[in-house]
Amino acid sequence: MILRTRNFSGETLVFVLPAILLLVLLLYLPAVLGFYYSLHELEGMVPGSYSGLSNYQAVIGAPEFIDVAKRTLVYIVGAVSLTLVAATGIALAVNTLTGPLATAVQIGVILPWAVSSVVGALMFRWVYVSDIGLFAYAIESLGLGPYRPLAGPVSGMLTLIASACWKKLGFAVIMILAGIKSIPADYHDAARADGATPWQAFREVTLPLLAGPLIICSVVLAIADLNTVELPLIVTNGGPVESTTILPLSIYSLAFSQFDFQGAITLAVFMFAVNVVLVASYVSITQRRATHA
Amino acid sequence: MRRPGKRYLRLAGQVALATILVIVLFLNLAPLVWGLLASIRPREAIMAYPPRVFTEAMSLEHYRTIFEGGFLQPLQSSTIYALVTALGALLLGSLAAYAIDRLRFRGRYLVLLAVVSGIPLASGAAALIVPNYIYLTSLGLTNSVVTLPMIYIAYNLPLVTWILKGAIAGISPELDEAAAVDGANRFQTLFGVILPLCKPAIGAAAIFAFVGAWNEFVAGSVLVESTVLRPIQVAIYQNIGFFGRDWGPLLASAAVATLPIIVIFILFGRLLVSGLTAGSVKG
Repeated sequence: MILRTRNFSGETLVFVLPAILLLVLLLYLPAVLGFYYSLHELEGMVPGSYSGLSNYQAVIGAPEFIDVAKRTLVYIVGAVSLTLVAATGIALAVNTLTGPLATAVQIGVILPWAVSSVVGALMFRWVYVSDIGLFAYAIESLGLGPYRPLAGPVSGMLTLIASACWKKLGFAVIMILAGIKSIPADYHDAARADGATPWQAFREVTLPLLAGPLIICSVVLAIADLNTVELPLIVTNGGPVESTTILPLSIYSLAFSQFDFQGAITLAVFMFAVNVVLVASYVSITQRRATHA
Repeated sequence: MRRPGKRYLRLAGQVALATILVIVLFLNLAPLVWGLLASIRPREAIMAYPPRVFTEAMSLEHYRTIFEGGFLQPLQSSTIYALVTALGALLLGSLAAYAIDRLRFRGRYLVLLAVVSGIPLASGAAALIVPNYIYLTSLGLTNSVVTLPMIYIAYNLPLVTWILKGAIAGISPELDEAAAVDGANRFQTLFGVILPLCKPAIGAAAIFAFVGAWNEFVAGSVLVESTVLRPIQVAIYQNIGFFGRDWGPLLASAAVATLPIIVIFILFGRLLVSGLTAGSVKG
Protein backbone atom coordinates (compact mmCIF):
# COMPACT_ATOMS: atom_id res chain seq x y z
CA MET A 1 0.00 0.00 0.00
CA ILE A 2 1.70 3.16 -1.16
CA LEU A 3 -0.15 5.93 0.60
CA ARG A 4 -0.60 8.88 -1.66
CA THR A 5 -0.17 11.93 0.48
CA ARG A 6 1.36 14.20 -2.10
CA ASN A 7 1.79 17.11 0.25
CA PHE A 8 3.26 17.24 3.67
CA SER A 9 0.28 16.39 5.85
CA GLY A 10 0.31 17.07 9.56
CA GLU A 11 0.62 13.36 10.18
CA THR A 12 3.68 13.01 7.97
CA LEU A 13 5.27 15.86 9.87
CA VAL A 14 4.85 14.03 13.17
CA PHE A 15 6.57 10.99 11.67
CA VAL A 16 9.48 12.75 10.02
CA LEU A 17 10.04 16.05 11.77
CA PRO A 18 11.56 14.93 15.12
CA ALA A 19 14.23 12.85 13.39
CA ILE A 20 14.97 15.42 10.71
CA LEU A 21 15.10 18.29 13.19
CA LEU A 22 17.62 16.45 15.34
CA LEU A 23 19.80 15.47 12.37
CA VAL A 24 19.74 18.95 10.89
CA LEU A 25 20.44 20.73 14.17
CA LEU A 26 23.19 18.46 15.48
CA LEU A 27 24.72 16.80 12.40
CA TYR A 28 24.24 19.07 9.38
CA LEU A 29 24.04 22.57 10.89
CA PRO A 30 27.40 22.34 12.71
CA ALA A 31 29.01 21.60 9.36
CA VAL A 32 27.54 24.74 7.81
CA LEU A 33 28.36 26.78 10.90
CA GLY A 34 31.94 25.51 10.84
CA PHE A 35 32.28 26.89 7.34
CA TYR A 36 30.72 30.20 8.44
CA TYR A 37 33.03 30.47 11.46
CA SER A 38 36.07 29.74 9.31
CA LEU A 39 35.29 32.82 7.18
CA HIS A 40 35.08 35.10 10.20
CA GLU A 41 37.40 36.44 12.82
CA LEU A 42 36.56 34.52 16.00
CA GLU A 43 36.73 36.65 19.14
CA GLY A 44 37.02 33.97 21.77
CA MET A 45 34.15 31.84 20.58
CA VAL A 46 32.00 34.55 19.02
CA PRO A 47 32.27 35.14 15.28
CA GLY A 48 33.25 38.77 14.59
CA SER A 49 34.05 40.52 11.33
CA TYR A 50 34.15 38.77 7.97
CA SER A 51 37.70 37.84 7.11
CA GLY A 52 37.34 36.02 3.81
CA LEU A 53 39.90 33.34 3.16
CA SER A 54 42.58 34.78 5.41
CA ASN A 55 42.13 32.02 8.00
CA TYR A 56 42.70 29.45 5.30
CA GLN A 57 45.79 31.26 4.06
CA ALA A 58 47.14 31.31 7.60
CA VAL A 59 46.45 27.63 8.24
CA ILE A 60 47.47 26.25 4.85
CA GLY A 61 50.47 28.58 4.64
CA ALA A 62 51.84 27.32 7.96
CA PRO A 63 54.71 24.86 7.49
CA GLU A 64 53.08 22.31 9.86
CA PHE A 65 50.07 21.99 7.60
CA ILE A 66 51.86 20.19 4.78
CA ASP A 67 53.46 17.84 7.31
CA VAL A 68 50.14 17.02 8.98
CA ALA A 69 48.48 16.52 5.59
CA LYS A 70 51.25 14.18 4.41
CA ARG A 71 51.19 12.13 7.59
CA THR A 72 47.42 11.87 7.44
CA LEU A 73 47.61 10.64 3.86
CA VAL A 74 50.27 8.05 4.70
CA TYR A 75 48.22 6.90 7.68
CA ILE A 76 44.92 6.61 5.77
CA VAL A 77 46.41 4.87 2.72
CA GLY A 78 48.47 2.56 4.93
CA ALA A 79 45.69 1.67 7.35
CA VAL A 80 42.98 1.20 4.70
CA SER A 81 45.08 -0.96 2.38
CA LEU A 82 46.51 -3.10 5.18
CA THR A 83 43.04 -3.63 6.68
CA LEU A 84 41.52 -4.39 3.29
CA VAL A 85 44.13 -6.98 2.26
CA ALA A 86 44.12 -8.70 5.66
CA ALA A 87 40.33 -8.67 5.87
CA THR A 88 39.89 -10.12 2.38
CA GLY A 89 42.21 -13.00 3.22
CA ILE A 90 40.50 -13.68 6.52
CA ALA A 91 37.03 -13.40 4.98
CA LEU A 92 37.98 -15.97 2.31
CA ALA A 93 39.21 -18.29 5.05
CA VAL A 94 36.12 -17.79 7.24
CA ASN A 95 33.93 -18.42 4.18
CA THR A 96 35.14 -22.05 4.10
CA LEU A 97 33.83 -22.62 7.62
CA THR A 98 30.24 -23.55 8.42
CA GLY A 99 27.86 -23.72 11.35
CA PRO A 100 28.60 -22.57 14.89
CA LEU A 101 32.34 -22.50 14.21
CA ALA A 102 31.84 -19.86 11.51
CA THR A 103 29.73 -17.74 13.87
CA ALA A 104 32.24 -18.12 16.71
CA VAL A 105 35.15 -17.07 14.49
CA GLN A 106 33.20 -14.06 13.19
CA ILE A 107 32.40 -12.90 16.72
CA GLY A 108 36.01 -13.46 17.81
CA VAL A 109 37.22 -11.42 14.88
CA ILE A 110 34.81 -8.54 15.47
CA LEU A 111 35.34 -8.05 19.22
CA PRO A 112 38.13 -5.42 18.94
CA TRP A 113 35.79 -3.38 16.75
CA ALA A 114 33.01 -3.66 19.32
CA VAL A 115 34.98 -2.29 22.25
CA SER A 116 35.43 1.47 22.49
CA SER A 117 38.35 3.21 20.80
CA VAL A 118 39.64 4.36 24.19
CA VAL A 119 39.67 0.82 25.58
CA GLY A 120 40.97 -0.64 22.32
CA ALA A 121 43.80 1.90 22.17
CA LEU A 122 44.69 1.24 25.79
CA MET A 123 44.73 -2.55 25.44
CA PHE A 124 46.60 -2.39 22.13
CA ARG A 125 49.23 -0.28 23.86
CA TRP A 126 49.41 -2.70 26.77
CA VAL A 127 50.13 -5.74 24.58
CA TYR A 128 51.75 -4.40 21.41
CA VAL A 129 53.48 -1.14 22.38
CA SER A 130 54.44 -1.27 26.05
CA ASP A 131 58.06 -2.23 26.74
CA ILE A 132 56.86 -4.80 29.29
CA GLY A 133 54.18 -6.07 26.91
CA LEU A 134 53.71 -9.51 25.39
CA PHE A 135 54.77 -8.42 21.92
CA ALA A 136 57.96 -6.77 23.14
CA TYR A 137 58.78 -9.99 24.95
CA ALA A 138 58.07 -12.12 21.87
CA ILE A 139 60.27 -9.92 19.65
CA GLU A 140 63.11 -9.80 22.17
CA SER A 141 63.07 -13.50 22.93
CA LEU A 142 63.26 -14.21 19.19
CA GLY A 143 66.50 -12.26 19.27
CA LEU A 144 65.17 -9.44 17.08
CA GLY A 145 66.72 -6.83 19.32
CA PRO A 146 65.19 -4.34 21.71
CA TYR A 147 61.60 -3.47 20.84
CA ARG A 148 61.04 0.29 21.03
CA PRO A 149 58.18 1.03 18.60
CA LEU A 150 57.84 4.65 19.65
CA ALA A 151 61.52 5.52 19.31
CA GLY A 152 61.45 6.57 15.66
CA PRO A 153 59.01 8.31 13.31
CA VAL A 154 58.67 5.37 10.90
CA SER A 155 58.04 2.73 13.56
CA GLY A 156 55.72 5.19 15.33
CA MET A 157 53.61 5.55 12.19
CA LEU A 158 53.67 1.78 11.60
CA THR A 159 52.45 1.26 15.17
CA LEU A 160 49.58 3.69 14.63
CA ILE A 161 48.65 2.01 11.33
CA ALA A 162 48.78 -1.42 12.98
CA SER A 163 46.50 -0.24 15.78
CA ALA A 164 43.96 1.11 13.28
CA CYS A 165 44.08 -2.14 11.34
CA TRP A 166 43.64 -4.22 14.49
CA LYS A 167 40.70 -2.09 15.66
CA LYS A 168 38.71 -2.18 12.41
CA LEU A 169 39.73 -5.53 10.94
CA GLY A 170 36.68 -7.41 12.22
CA PHE A 171 34.27 -4.88 10.77
CA ALA A 172 35.97 -5.15 7.36
CA VAL A 173 35.93 -8.96 7.54
CA ILE A 174 32.16 -9.00 8.19
CA MET A 175 31.46 -6.59 5.33
CA ILE A 176 33.67 -8.41 2.82
CA LEU A 177 32.36 -11.79 3.96
CA ALA A 178 28.82 -10.63 3.20
CA GLY A 179 30.04 -9.67 -0.27
CA ILE A 180 31.65 -13.09 -0.81
CA LYS A 181 28.48 -14.86 0.34
CA SER A 182 26.42 -12.93 -2.19
CA ILE A 183 28.41 -14.41 -5.10
CA PRO A 184 26.39 -17.32 -6.53
CA ALA A 185 28.08 -20.70 -5.98
CA ASP A 186 27.49 -21.69 -9.64
CA TYR A 187 30.14 -19.18 -10.72
CA HIS A 188 32.78 -21.06 -8.78
CA ASP A 189 31.52 -24.43 -9.98
CA ALA A 190 31.71 -23.16 -13.55
CA ALA A 191 35.24 -21.88 -13.04
CA ARG A 192 36.29 -25.20 -11.54
CA ALA A 193 34.64 -27.13 -14.39
CA ASP A 194 36.70 -25.03 -16.81
CA GLY A 195 39.81 -26.17 -14.97
CA ALA A 196 40.66 -22.93 -13.17
CA THR A 197 43.11 -23.12 -10.28
CA PRO A 198 41.88 -21.67 -6.96
CA TRP A 199 44.07 -18.59 -7.56
CA GLN A 200 42.65 -18.11 -11.06
CA ALA A 201 39.12 -18.57 -9.73
CA PHE A 202 39.81 -15.94 -7.08
CA ARG A 203 41.33 -13.46 -9.55
CA GLU A 204 38.88 -13.93 -12.41
CA VAL A 205 35.63 -14.66 -10.56
CA THR A 206 35.68 -13.61 -6.91
CA LEU A 207 37.71 -10.41 -7.11
CA PRO A 208 35.74 -8.68 -9.91
CA LEU A 209 32.44 -9.54 -8.22
CA LEU A 210 33.84 -8.34 -4.91
CA ALA A 211 34.89 -4.96 -6.28
CA GLY A 212 31.72 -3.23 -5.07
CA PRO A 213 31.89 -4.38 -1.43
CA LEU A 214 35.65 -3.73 -1.39
CA ILE A 215 35.18 -0.15 -2.58
CA ILE A 216 32.38 0.52 -0.08
CA CYS A 217 34.47 -1.05 2.65
CA SER A 218 37.49 1.09 1.83
CA VAL A 219 35.41 4.27 1.83
CA VAL A 220 33.88 3.40 5.21
CA LEU A 221 37.34 2.54 6.59
CA ALA A 222 38.83 5.78 5.24
CA ILE A 223 36.08 7.81 6.93
CA ALA A 224 36.53 5.94 10.20
CA ASP A 225 40.34 6.18 10.14
CA LEU A 226 40.29 9.85 9.17
CA ASN A 227 38.02 10.68 12.09
CA THR A 228 39.51 8.69 14.93
CA VAL A 229 41.07 10.89 17.59
CA GLU A 230 41.46 8.19 20.25
CA LEU A 231 44.09 6.00 18.54
CA PRO A 232 46.74 8.69 17.87
CA LEU A 233 45.84 10.30 21.21
CA ILE A 234 46.29 7.17 23.32
CA VAL A 235 48.46 4.71 21.34
CA THR A 236 51.19 7.14 20.31
CA ASN A 237 50.06 10.51 21.72
CA GLY A 238 51.04 12.05 18.39
CA GLY A 239 54.68 11.15 18.86
CA PRO A 240 57.50 10.56 18.65
CA VAL A 241 58.04 14.28 17.92
CA GLU A 242 54.69 14.80 16.17
CA SER A 243 55.37 12.01 13.67
CA THR A 244 51.89 10.56 14.29
CA THR A 245 50.08 13.88 14.82
CA ILE A 246 47.50 13.38 12.12
CA LEU A 247 44.64 15.73 11.19
CA PRO A 248 41.97 14.65 13.72
CA LEU A 249 44.41 14.76 16.63
CA SER A 250 45.81 18.06 15.41
CA ILE A 251 42.31 19.62 15.36
CA TYR A 252 41.38 18.14 18.72
CA SER A 253 44.48 19.36 20.54
CA LEU A 254 44.51 22.73 18.76
CA ALA A 255 40.96 23.38 20.00
CA PHE A 256 40.90 21.76 23.39
CA SER A 257 44.49 21.95 24.69
CA GLN A 258 45.70 25.13 23.02
CA PHE A 259 42.24 26.76 22.74
CA ASP A 260 43.03 28.02 19.24
CA PHE A 261 39.47 27.70 17.98
CA GLN A 262 40.14 29.73 14.88
CA GLY A 263 42.90 27.44 13.66
CA ALA A 264 41.02 24.32 14.74
CA ILE A 265 37.81 25.23 12.98
CA THR A 266 39.57 26.09 9.74
CA LEU A 267 41.37 22.76 9.79
CA ALA A 268 38.09 21.05 10.71
CA VAL A 269 36.38 22.54 7.65
CA PHE A 270 39.21 21.19 5.53
CA MET A 271 38.76 17.76 7.09
CA PHE A 272 35.01 18.02 6.73
CA ALA A 273 35.42 18.69 3.00
CA VAL A 274 37.35 15.42 2.69
CA ASN A 275 34.58 13.71 4.67
CA VAL A 276 31.95 15.10 2.31
CA VAL A 277 33.78 13.71 -0.71
CA LEU A 278 34.02 10.30 0.98
CA VAL A 279 30.41 10.35 2.17
CA ALA A 280 29.17 11.42 -1.28
CA SER A 281 31.02 8.56 -2.93
CA TYR A 282 29.68 6.14 -0.31
CA VAL A 283 26.10 7.30 -0.92
CA SER A 284 26.38 7.21 -4.69
CA ILE A 285 27.95 3.74 -4.68
CA THR A 286 25.40 2.25 -2.27
CA GLN A 287 22.48 3.87 -4.11
CA ARG A 288 23.73 2.62 -7.45
CA ARG A 289 24.12 -0.89 -6.05
CA ALA A 290 20.66 -0.71 -4.50
CA THR A 291 19.05 0.20 -7.83
CA HIS A 292 20.99 -2.49 -9.70
CA ALA A 293 20.24 -5.18 -7.13
CA MET B 1 38.71 -40.83 -10.00
CA ARG B 2 40.50 -39.32 -7.02
CA ARG B 3 44.20 -39.44 -6.72
CA PRO B 4 45.47 -39.77 -3.15
CA GLY B 5 47.96 -36.93 -3.75
CA LYS B 6 45.15 -34.51 -4.27
CA ARG B 7 43.56 -35.51 -0.98
CA TYR B 8 46.76 -34.83 0.92
CA LEU B 9 47.01 -31.49 -0.80
CA ARG B 10 43.52 -30.62 0.33
CA LEU B 11 44.27 -31.75 3.86
CA ALA B 12 47.45 -29.66 3.91
CA GLY B 13 45.44 -26.70 2.65
CA GLN B 14 42.92 -27.11 5.44
CA VAL B 15 45.64 -27.36 8.07
CA ALA B 16 47.30 -24.21 6.70
CA LEU B 17 43.95 -22.42 6.72
CA ALA B 18 43.22 -23.45 10.29
CA THR B 19 46.70 -22.34 11.40
CA ILE B 20 46.27 -18.93 9.80
CA LEU B 21 42.85 -18.46 11.41
CA VAL B 22 44.21 -19.44 14.83
CA ILE B 23 47.11 -16.98 14.50
CA VAL B 24 44.77 -14.21 13.36
CA LEU B 25 42.37 -14.84 16.22
CA PHE B 26 45.27 -14.90 18.66
CA LEU B 27 46.72 -11.58 17.44
CA ASN B 28 43.21 -10.14 17.37
CA LEU B 29 42.10 -11.18 20.82
CA ALA B 30 45.41 -11.03 22.72
CA PRO B 31 44.99 -7.38 23.80
CA LEU B 32 41.49 -7.98 25.17
CA VAL B 33 42.28 -11.28 26.89
CA TRP B 34 45.66 -10.20 28.24
CA GLY B 35 44.20 -6.84 29.32
CA LEU B 36 41.25 -8.38 31.18
CA LEU B 37 43.55 -10.97 32.76
CA ALA B 38 46.02 -8.35 33.96
CA SER B 39 43.25 -6.36 35.62
CA ILE B 40 42.69 -9.14 38.17
CA ARG B 41 46.36 -9.71 38.96
CA PRO B 42 48.41 -8.17 41.73
CA ARG B 43 50.68 -5.30 40.82
CA GLU B 44 53.95 -7.30 40.88
CA ALA B 45 52.54 -9.88 38.46
CA ILE B 46 51.46 -7.16 36.00
CA MET B 47 54.77 -5.36 36.01
CA ALA B 48 56.81 -8.57 35.79
CA TYR B 49 59.11 -8.85 32.80
CA PRO B 50 59.33 -11.35 31.15
CA PRO B 51 55.53 -11.48 31.37
CA ARG B 52 54.18 -14.37 33.41
CA VAL B 53 51.51 -16.32 31.59
CA PHE B 54 50.44 -18.20 34.69
CA THR B 55 50.25 -16.77 38.17
CA GLU B 56 48.04 -18.20 40.82
CA ALA B 57 47.54 -14.98 42.71
CA MET B 58 44.38 -13.09 41.94
CA SER B 59 43.54 -9.68 43.21
CA LEU B 60 40.67 -7.25 43.02
CA GLU B 61 42.83 -4.44 44.41
CA HIS B 62 42.71 -2.43 41.16
CA TYR B 63 38.93 -2.54 41.06
CA ARG B 64 38.85 -1.33 44.65
CA THR B 65 41.24 1.47 43.72
CA ILE B 66 39.14 2.78 40.85
CA PHE B 67 35.78 2.51 42.60
CA GLU B 68 37.19 4.27 45.66
CA GLY B 69 38.40 6.90 43.23
CA GLY B 70 34.82 7.56 42.08
CA PHE B 71 34.52 5.31 39.01
CA LEU B 72 30.93 4.36 39.92
CA GLN B 73 29.68 7.81 38.88
CA PRO B 74 30.75 7.65 35.20
CA LEU B 75 29.55 4.04 35.10
CA GLN B 76 26.08 5.19 36.17
CA SER B 77 26.04 8.22 33.90
CA SER B 78 27.03 6.22 30.85
CA THR B 79 24.44 3.53 31.63
CA ILE B 80 21.74 6.21 31.64
CA TYR B 81 23.12 7.92 28.51
CA ALA B 82 23.22 4.64 26.63
CA LEU B 83 19.70 3.58 27.65
CA VAL B 84 18.22 6.98 26.80
CA THR B 85 20.07 6.96 23.46
CA ALA B 86 18.75 3.50 22.57
CA LEU B 87 15.15 4.39 23.48
CA GLY B 88 15.24 7.84 21.87
CA ALA B 89 16.85 6.61 18.66
CA LEU B 90 14.36 3.72 18.43
CA LEU B 91 11.36 6.02 18.86
CA LEU B 92 12.47 8.71 16.39
CA GLY B 93 14.01 6.11 14.07
CA SER B 94 10.91 3.92 13.82
CA LEU B 95 8.70 6.92 13.01
CA ALA B 96 11.11 8.14 10.33
CA ALA B 97 11.68 4.63 8.95
CA TYR B 98 7.94 4.02 8.61
CA ALA B 99 7.44 7.35 6.86
CA ILE B 100 10.31 6.73 4.44
CA ASP B 101 9.11 3.26 3.55
CA ARG B 102 5.32 3.59 3.61
CA LEU B 103 4.34 7.21 3.11
CA ARG B 104 4.74 9.14 -0.12
CA PHE B 105 5.32 12.81 0.53
CA ARG B 106 7.18 15.70 -1.00
CA GLY B 107 10.79 15.72 0.19
CA ARG B 108 10.79 11.99 0.95
CA TYR B 109 13.97 11.51 -1.07
CA LEU B 110 15.67 14.33 0.87
CA VAL B 111 14.76 12.67 4.16
CA LEU B 112 16.13 9.37 2.86
CA LEU B 113 19.31 11.11 1.75
CA ALA B 114 19.71 12.82 5.12
CA VAL B 115 19.48 9.42 6.80
CA VAL B 116 21.79 7.55 4.40
CA SER B 117 24.46 10.27 4.39
CA GLY B 118 24.08 10.53 8.15
CA ILE B 119 25.46 7.01 8.69
CA PRO B 120 29.03 7.73 7.56
CA LEU B 121 28.78 11.41 8.54
CA ALA B 122 28.06 10.50 12.16
CA SER B 123 31.16 8.31 12.25
CA GLY B 124 33.02 11.41 11.02
CA ALA B 125 31.81 13.45 13.95
CA ALA B 126 35.38 14.36 14.97
CA ALA B 127 35.39 17.00 12.25
CA LEU B 128 32.16 18.44 13.61
CA ILE B 129 33.12 18.60 17.25
CA VAL B 130 34.74 22.04 17.14
CA PRO B 131 31.84 23.88 15.43
CA ASN B 132 29.43 21.85 17.57
CA TYR B 133 31.26 22.93 20.71
CA ILE B 134 31.15 26.63 19.76
CA TYR B 135 27.53 26.42 18.65
CA LEU B 136 26.25 24.51 21.69
CA THR B 137 28.22 26.81 24.01
CA SER B 138 26.56 29.86 22.45
CA LEU B 139 23.15 28.22 23.01
CA GLY B 140 24.07 27.41 26.61
CA LEU B 141 23.57 23.71 25.90
CA THR B 142 26.93 22.36 27.02
CA ASN B 143 27.51 20.78 30.42
CA SER B 144 23.85 19.92 30.92
CA VAL B 145 22.01 16.66 31.54
CA VAL B 146 20.56 16.69 28.03
CA THR B 147 23.80 17.55 26.18
CA LEU B 148 25.20 14.08 25.60
CA PRO B 149 21.93 12.13 25.18
CA MET B 150 20.87 14.66 22.55
CA ILE B 151 24.16 14.37 20.66
CA TYR B 152 24.26 10.59 20.97
CA ILE B 153 20.71 10.17 19.67
CA ALA B 154 21.60 12.35 16.67
CA TYR B 155 24.78 10.35 15.96
CA ASN B 156 23.04 6.97 16.17
CA LEU B 157 19.71 7.86 14.59
CA PRO B 158 20.79 7.38 10.94
CA LEU B 159 21.94 3.77 11.40
CA VAL B 160 18.94 2.90 13.60
CA THR B 161 16.52 4.38 11.03
CA TRP B 162 18.26 2.53 8.22
CA ILE B 163 18.11 -0.84 9.98
CA LEU B 164 14.42 -0.35 10.88
CA LYS B 165 13.58 0.83 7.37
CA GLY B 166 15.06 -2.40 6.00
CA ALA B 167 12.91 -4.46 8.39
CA ILE B 168 9.70 -2.51 7.69
CA ALA B 169 10.27 -2.87 3.94
CA GLY B 170 10.25 -6.64 4.45
CA ILE B 171 6.73 -6.61 5.90
CA SER B 172 3.81 -6.87 3.52
CA PRO B 173 1.87 -3.59 3.08
CA GLU B 174 -1.28 -5.72 3.14
CA LEU B 175 -0.94 -5.71 6.92
CA ASP B 176 -1.19 -1.90 6.88
CA GLU B 177 -4.32 -2.15 4.77
CA ALA B 178 -5.87 -4.74 7.08
CA ALA B 179 -5.11 -2.54 10.10
CA ALA B 180 -6.61 0.48 8.32
CA VAL B 181 -9.75 -1.51 7.56
CA ASP B 182 -9.96 -2.34 11.29
CA GLY B 183 -9.93 1.40 11.95
CA ALA B 184 -6.35 1.75 13.18
CA ASN B 185 -4.59 5.04 12.44
CA ARG B 186 -0.99 5.11 11.20
CA PHE B 187 0.51 5.30 14.69
CA GLN B 188 -1.52 2.35 15.89
CA THR B 189 -0.51 0.47 12.74
CA LEU B 190 3.17 1.19 13.28
CA PHE B 191 3.35 0.50 17.00
CA GLY B 192 0.68 -2.22 17.20
CA VAL B 193 1.15 -4.17 13.97
CA ILE B 194 4.43 -3.42 12.18
CA LEU B 195 6.99 -2.98 14.97
CA PRO B 196 6.06 -6.19 16.84
CA LEU B 197 7.06 -8.00 13.64
CA CYS B 198 10.48 -6.29 13.54
CA LYS B 199 11.84 -7.58 16.84
CA PRO B 200 15.26 -8.77 15.57
CA ALA B 201 15.86 -5.46 13.78
CA ILE B 202 14.71 -3.49 16.83
CA GLY B 203 17.08 -5.53 18.98
CA ALA B 204 20.02 -4.99 16.64
CA ALA B 205 19.27 -1.26 16.28
CA ALA B 206 18.89 -0.81 20.04
CA ILE B 207 22.20 -2.54 20.72
CA PHE B 208 24.04 -0.48 18.10
CA ALA B 209 22.68 2.73 19.62
CA PHE B 210 23.47 1.58 23.16
CA VAL B 211 27.01 0.54 22.28
CA GLY B 212 27.53 3.70 20.18
CA ALA B 213 26.64 5.93 23.13
CA TRP B 214 28.55 3.79 25.61
CA ASN B 215 31.74 3.88 23.53
CA GLU B 216 31.72 7.55 22.52
CA PHE B 217 34.68 9.62 23.67
CA VAL B 218 35.30 12.82 21.71
CA ALA B 219 32.00 14.65 22.33
CA GLY B 220 31.91 13.40 25.91
CA SER B 221 35.38 14.74 26.57
CA VAL B 222 34.62 18.33 25.55
CA LEU B 223 30.87 19.00 25.82
CA VAL B 224 30.45 18.28 29.54
CA GLU B 225 32.69 19.31 32.41
CA SER B 226 31.10 18.39 35.73
CA THR B 227 32.08 15.02 37.20
CA VAL B 228 28.42 14.00 37.54
CA LEU B 229 27.93 14.25 33.77
CA ARG B 230 31.25 12.70 32.73
CA PRO B 231 30.83 9.53 30.63
CA ILE B 232 32.81 6.35 31.22
CA GLN B 233 35.24 6.57 28.27
CA VAL B 234 36.35 10.02 29.42
CA ALA B 235 36.86 8.71 32.94
CA ILE B 236 39.12 5.95 31.55
CA TYR B 237 41.09 8.48 29.53
CA GLN B 238 41.55 10.67 32.58
CA ASN B 239 42.77 7.60 34.48
CA ILE B 240 45.61 7.34 31.94
CA GLY B 241 46.83 10.74 33.07
CA PHE B 242 46.22 9.88 36.70
CA PHE B 243 47.73 6.41 36.97
CA GLY B 244 50.37 6.77 34.24
CA ARG B 245 52.34 3.54 33.96
CA ASP B 246 50.41 1.86 36.77
CA TRP B 247 48.59 -0.51 34.42
CA GLY B 248 46.45 -2.27 37.06
CA PRO B 249 43.81 0.41 37.74
CA LEU B 250 43.92 1.50 34.09
CA LEU B 251 43.13 -1.97 32.82
CA ALA B 252 40.53 -2.45 35.56
CA SER B 253 38.64 0.65 34.42
CA ALA B 254 38.92 -0.51 30.80
CA ALA B 255 37.63 -3.94 31.85
CA VAL B 256 34.59 -2.48 33.63
CA ALA B 257 33.70 -0.53 30.48
CA THR B 258 34.31 -3.50 28.20
CA LEU B 259 32.71 -6.50 29.90
CA PRO B 260 29.13 -5.38 29.10
CA ILE B 261 30.10 -4.93 25.44
CA ILE B 262 31.78 -8.33 25.21
CA VAL B 263 28.81 -10.03 26.88
CA ILE B 264 26.39 -8.29 24.49
CA PHE B 265 28.42 -9.31 21.45
CA ILE B 266 28.80 -12.90 22.55
CA LEU B 267 25.06 -13.21 23.31
CA PHE B 268 23.73 -11.33 20.32
CA GLY B 269 26.68 -11.60 17.92
CA ARG B 270 24.73 -13.35 15.18
CA LEU B 271 21.95 -10.78 15.25
CA LEU B 272 24.43 -7.89 15.22
CA VAL B 273 26.49 -9.29 12.37
CA SER B 274 23.36 -9.65 10.24
CA GLY B 275 22.21 -6.13 11.23
CA LEU B 276 25.60 -4.75 10.29
CA THR B 277 25.68 -6.29 6.85
CA ALA B 278 22.04 -5.40 6.19
CA GLY B 279 22.86 -1.81 7.07
CA SER B 280 26.01 -1.32 5.08
CA VAL B 281 26.53 -3.67 2.18
CA LYS B 282 23.18 -4.34 0.66
CA GLY B 283 22.53 -0.60 0.38
